[in-house]
Amino acid sequence: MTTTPQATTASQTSTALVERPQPTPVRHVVPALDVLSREGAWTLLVDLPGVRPDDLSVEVERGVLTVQAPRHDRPGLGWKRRVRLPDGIDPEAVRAALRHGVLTVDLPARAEVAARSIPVTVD
Amino acid sequence: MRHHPLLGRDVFAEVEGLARRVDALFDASHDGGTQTFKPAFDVRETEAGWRLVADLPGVDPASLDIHQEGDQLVVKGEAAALGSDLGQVIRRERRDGAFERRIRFARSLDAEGITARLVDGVLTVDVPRRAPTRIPVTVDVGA
Repeated sequence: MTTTPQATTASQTSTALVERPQPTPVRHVVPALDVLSREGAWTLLVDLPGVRPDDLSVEVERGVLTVQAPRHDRPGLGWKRRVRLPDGIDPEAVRAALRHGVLTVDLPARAEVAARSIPVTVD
Repeated sequence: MRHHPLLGRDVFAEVEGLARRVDALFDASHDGGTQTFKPAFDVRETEAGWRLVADLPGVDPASLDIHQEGDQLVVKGEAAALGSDLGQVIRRERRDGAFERRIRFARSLDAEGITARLVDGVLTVDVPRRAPTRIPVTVDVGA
């Protein structure tokens, strides 16, 4: 699954509210999160049991990643977690995959950042 | 509280993470030197028997072992250690490794009829109620 690192605009949101019936209010619970780092790149692991891939929303807006999804097995309950991304992450290259109820988000470093991290030896 | 650049001020998550670690302290049991955790189960009585539901994110269905021991239902398995080779651990709230949970029933179980399914990291186990054994009553006419 690939994320679209584009946040929904205000106009899209208001149109959706007019056209669609009000959804059941969802109470959001903060899911457990692991953060791992390697060579300027980061990986997030988020526990999201009871979530269908189609219902999952992963968005990056102004340096903040938001993971949000309703639970299909418990109506009225959902998961939501916001994570501020560190500098040097390429928001266009963020990738996410959901398997066995765990979301893996790969946050690759920007190309120039990765290049800078190569050690240089001087004779 | 330290503000990690990646995480910012996520006070609720901090509390949640701490609660999990405290739970882990109480839940952790030693079983032949291996630490296991006890996942939380909801148990509901249904018309047919009981329904047990547990969040088991990261658990491979193939690792699940569900069986009956007397009046107990035993659920064992393993949550994959997904982050082990992905770099340096900055934050760790998720639980992984082996788990075991024993649920005692007031009546003996009908092991034959137990069904289980693991969908999107949620385990549902249906335990049917054993039909009561009817005892024939003979009546001696004229006694």
